[in-house]
Amino acid sequence: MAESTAETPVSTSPKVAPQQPRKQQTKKPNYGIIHKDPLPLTITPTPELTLHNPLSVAHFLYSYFFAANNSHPVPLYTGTFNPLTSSVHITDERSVNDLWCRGFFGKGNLSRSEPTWLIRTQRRLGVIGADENLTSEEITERRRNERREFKAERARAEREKLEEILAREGKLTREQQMLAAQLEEDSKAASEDVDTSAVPDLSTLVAEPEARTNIEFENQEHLQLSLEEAFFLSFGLGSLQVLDPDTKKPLSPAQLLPLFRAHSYCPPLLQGVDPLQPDDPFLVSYAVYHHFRSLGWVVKSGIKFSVDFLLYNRGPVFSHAEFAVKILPAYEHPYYSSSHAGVARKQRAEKERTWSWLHAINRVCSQVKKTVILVYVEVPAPEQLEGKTVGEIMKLFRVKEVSLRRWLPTRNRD
Amino acid sequence: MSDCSTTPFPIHTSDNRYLILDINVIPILREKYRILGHMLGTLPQIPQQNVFLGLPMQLLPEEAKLLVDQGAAYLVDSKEVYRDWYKSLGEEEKEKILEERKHAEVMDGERRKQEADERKRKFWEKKRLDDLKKQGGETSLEGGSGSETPTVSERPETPIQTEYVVAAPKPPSGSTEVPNVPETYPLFKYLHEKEYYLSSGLRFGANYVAYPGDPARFHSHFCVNSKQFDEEFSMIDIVGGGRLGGGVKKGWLLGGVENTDESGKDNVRAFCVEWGGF
Repeated sequence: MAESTAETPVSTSPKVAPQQPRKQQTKKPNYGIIHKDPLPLTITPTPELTLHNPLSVAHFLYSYFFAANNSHPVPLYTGTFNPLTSSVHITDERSVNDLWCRGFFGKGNLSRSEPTWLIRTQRRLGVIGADENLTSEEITERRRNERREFKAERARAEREKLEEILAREGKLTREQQMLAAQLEEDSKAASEDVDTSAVPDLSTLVAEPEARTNIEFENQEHLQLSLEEAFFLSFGLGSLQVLDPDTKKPLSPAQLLPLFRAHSYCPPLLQGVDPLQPDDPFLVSYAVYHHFRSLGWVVKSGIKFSVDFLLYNRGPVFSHAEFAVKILPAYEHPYYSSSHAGVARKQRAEKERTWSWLHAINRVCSQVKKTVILVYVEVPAPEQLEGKTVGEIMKLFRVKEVSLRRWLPTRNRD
Repeated sequence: MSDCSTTPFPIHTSDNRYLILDINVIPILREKYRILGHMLGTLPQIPQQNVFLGLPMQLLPEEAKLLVDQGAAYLVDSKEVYRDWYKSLGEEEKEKILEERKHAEVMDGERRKQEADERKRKFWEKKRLDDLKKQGGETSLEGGSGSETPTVSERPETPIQTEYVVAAPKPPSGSTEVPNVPETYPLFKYLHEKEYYLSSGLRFGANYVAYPGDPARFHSHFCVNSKQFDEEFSMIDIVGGGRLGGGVKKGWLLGGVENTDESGKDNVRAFCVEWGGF
């Protein structure tokens, strides 16, 4: 996988061109400072209290009762719900920046994860230098190009070595020599083609730093929050205001819940037609999202590895995700073993879980060195939801984690 | 069995397992019918190893059905065969078998006892020698060498194992029993007809793994997944499947019965997903 690129040593052939001195590593930004807040909340600790010092007591009481600043951002971050993509779009720069830097919420709609379209476009248009503020997409691309060039070089060296041996042994006829020369030219031309087409040569495109162009253009990218993220920010933390797409009025958590659960189905349910179900995909996955966020994990979508969530220790810029979370609703409540409708619902949900499915996700995740965690969410009975507020509903869910590992008798004998 | 290539051979069933007990059948299955099966038997001394496996060979229900449908094999209920054989024995023979078994057990017990005694004797002998050595190094060897001690007694002969061959029953005439197969059978049959070798795909999180030739010579090409043609499944499974296939250089194949024509023949269609990696 791309994540493990241990380069094999170059073959001992003297023909291999000496490795170019490695380009100076561009200095990484200090992520520790950029991402110092784990969540978009400001925490003001009360000053130290020394009981025998009246000044300290006064200071403490003052800061306790008249806290200097609000823990919530002022004004609140705002986003607009988008029914077409079933996500919340954030367009103003402050919200986009803060939500990414303080807790890694959302995804740039034109980027892999962090919204970097602006930087990449600026570089392409020559507004910024070739090595300024490298984005993760560009770093990956450069690494892949280096790897591709290295492989081409190695293949060429090996072929030359072989030809040399053949020539020395006199096994290469004149015809073959001609052919080999022709082949080499072709491959050279081809590799040049590849280089120019796949990898725009930045040095030719980008003007010298002095001669920077000043092109004004708008940022075309917005931040997309998944439904769980938006609900956590709005209901869990209260840092986000979600606006209705039509009326542009802020929606309360009590209004968001039916909206989001309707959009957790594909195609979305009509709002107000079906009542809230205890095993709605949104309710269950939000319970898990909230659970792991409250334990301090950075939770991101796991769609690329065919799981529900990925858990990062501090955030995607610091390390790879350690765990892959798969959500399984568990129907433990007596309702699901006694009533007819309950049993049917339980059976329908359990039909989807086959052994081969489990093997498949386990294999996919162990390929990228992640531990699979099966998260069982105990689903309440439907009648328990009636007349409850959002907070009371969320309290009905119980979450249990089971870690899963592929065990091979031959490899794990220690 | 003298010539298994022409006559139908028995598949022994027991608890929904389909077993081949005759070693001569296995190469024919592999070469002529492209049936792989898998070996169940292990070494009695090291039951946990899985490098050297032998008879019996277990067939997937799909494989068994394919063979039965082709008329190459017939099903035999192991339990009944054994019962019939036992009933056919006379009283004397039964007595004889019991006698032999008892004898074998006794012999076995005696052999074990002797071995234990031998070990004990050796231990004390060694201890005595060591003590002597400690007492006076130079005099140690005079009484100690193995020549004086009685040599290890001959191992008692292991009891002769009598083999009771249960004769393979004759193929039943008329209608035969057909194995119960899962819903994935039509796709299995379809790919088998396309000259693929198929084995169970549980390792790869699929229904089957398809090889373009004998698995001893080829890597597999596809992870085969069977679905109902109009079955709904989560999009996320395609992501997982694509990655799964890409990681082990296989295509992730998805197929099912599109329709069944008047003659009852299933028309199967299959699709392949590969990780693009743009």
